[in-house]
Amino acid sequence: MKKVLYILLFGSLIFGSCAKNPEKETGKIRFMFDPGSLKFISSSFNPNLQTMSALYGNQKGISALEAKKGIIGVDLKLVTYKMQDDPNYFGSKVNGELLSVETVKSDQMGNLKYGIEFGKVSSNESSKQRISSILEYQPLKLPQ
Amino acid sequence: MKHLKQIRILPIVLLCISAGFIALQFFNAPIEQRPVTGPMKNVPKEVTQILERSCYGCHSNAQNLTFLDKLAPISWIVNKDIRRAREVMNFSEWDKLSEVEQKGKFYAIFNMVRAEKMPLPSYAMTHPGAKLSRNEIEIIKQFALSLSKKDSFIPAHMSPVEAGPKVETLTTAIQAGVPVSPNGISYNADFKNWKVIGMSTLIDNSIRVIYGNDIAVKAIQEENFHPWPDGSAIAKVVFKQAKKPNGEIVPGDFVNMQYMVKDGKEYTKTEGWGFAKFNGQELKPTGKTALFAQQSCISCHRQLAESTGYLFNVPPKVNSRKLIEQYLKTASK
Ligand code: HEC
Ligand code: HEC
Repeated sequence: MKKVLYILLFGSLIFGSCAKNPEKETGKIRFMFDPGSLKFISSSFNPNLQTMSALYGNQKGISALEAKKGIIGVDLKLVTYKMQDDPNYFGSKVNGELLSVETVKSDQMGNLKYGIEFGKVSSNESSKQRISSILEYQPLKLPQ
Repeated sequence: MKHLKQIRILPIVLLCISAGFIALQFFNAPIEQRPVTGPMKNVPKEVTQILERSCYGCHSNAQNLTFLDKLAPISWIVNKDIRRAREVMNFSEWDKLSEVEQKGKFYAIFNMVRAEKMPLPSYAMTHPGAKLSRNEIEIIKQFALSLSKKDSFIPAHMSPVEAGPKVETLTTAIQAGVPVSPNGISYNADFKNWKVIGMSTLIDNSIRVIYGNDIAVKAIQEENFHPWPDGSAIAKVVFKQAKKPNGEIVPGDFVNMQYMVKDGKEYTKTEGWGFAKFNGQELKPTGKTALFAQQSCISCHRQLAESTGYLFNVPPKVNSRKLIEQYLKTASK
């Protein structure tokens, strides 16, 4: 008796899986940023530019965020993506195409230097403004 | 000779089948009737009419079963679906949900009908009238959207630094021990060392960071989702939204943390994924019994994220291979 049930259930499964698959084959690839030895610090999204960013850094980088100024040994990377709809869930937005990787590093004097490692930056701020925007991030506040 | 035998066997087989069929009806327990205790309120009639016609057959205490639905063995499947449907969402006991949960359900409802996952395809086939038209799906979408319009503005937070209680004051809360979900999955602070595999934000004012352990990251790289290897673990951290001085939205107060841990042998009822959720600064586990994942987690993941092995936050395929390869070459120098 159970068999009949399973055949029927299985049948409905086969029919069910005929529904359209939102994960289209586009010839494009998935991308996960590899921060190497840097740690994830925080994320953001920009409602005006429709971008999402992730900030990574070393310990000195995290200290620089607290001090809001340059110290020796800072290494920060801001990775920015296009913000897009979740292909499977309306109402959710996710990070999509990689747009840019910006860097903030300090020289021997502890002066912060701005650089672009990949892509084009959507914001039209100057290098100096970019550095201070990046220094405005705070590490995630997780339960201890 | 052979022919003769067949002719004699046929009626016997038919007789057996019909006798079996009648016998089946004795094992046909009707679905238990329950009263309508908390019907939906403040939902426009054009929306409730659609739901009543197409969804109440399963997701309510007011079934309108056809003769066929009540006939075993069809009734077994129908009753099983109804029990399962009521367990995850019951329009007749709608008041059991908070306002936020009701809003969340309407997003789930829209997503289910948009993906043609609800009404269940098997049901839609036998109940042609239950299918939704494009126009009806649009009506549901507009209603779901209208629910978040009221509060879709970003709360005017102070700077994110002041946006919540200081972390130092919180350590006492969980000293008693590591919080454990009713299904045995414990809070694992190690996720902080995992790789961030994605970020997301919901219209309902939250911002999320999703981490994956090494096994999960490797599975994504190798497109190894069917099934995900045992030992894969995903952590999603949900925060309130806060505003940076330059207008960007960043994670503010911690809201909850959710895990999905893959063990194909252990979590057979939930597609091999063990679910856990820990809420607030005390990391209070969700669920009274181990059944909570079956009742309140797996449906959406199973129905809407099947193509990536029941996980939503797999980075979408949107990057040009050439550009990424170029970048990785320069970055490794
Ligand atoms: C044949 C019975 C049946 C009908 C009719 C039906 N559903 Fe379902 N529904 C189910 C079952 C069974 C599940 C659980 C699926 C799973 O766990 O994979 C479910 C799950 C859901 C969920 C997930 C709830 C959650 O939060 O976990 C939503 C939303 C939903 N249905 C919406 C609808 C809507 C909207 C309709 C009408 C358009 C509808 N359903 C009609 C049987 C039904
Ligand atoms: C209403 C549908 C729905 C229900 C019910 C649901 N989820 Fe999810 N879940 C989602 C969506 C959509 C995402 C992706 C968007 C995001 O990041 O929040 C997600 C993402 C996740 C993730 C990150 C991995 C992934 O799949 O992207 C975890 C972990 C998770 N959910 C755990 C849970 C747990 C635990 C429960 C039950 C307490 C649960 N979910 C119930 C819809 C749902």
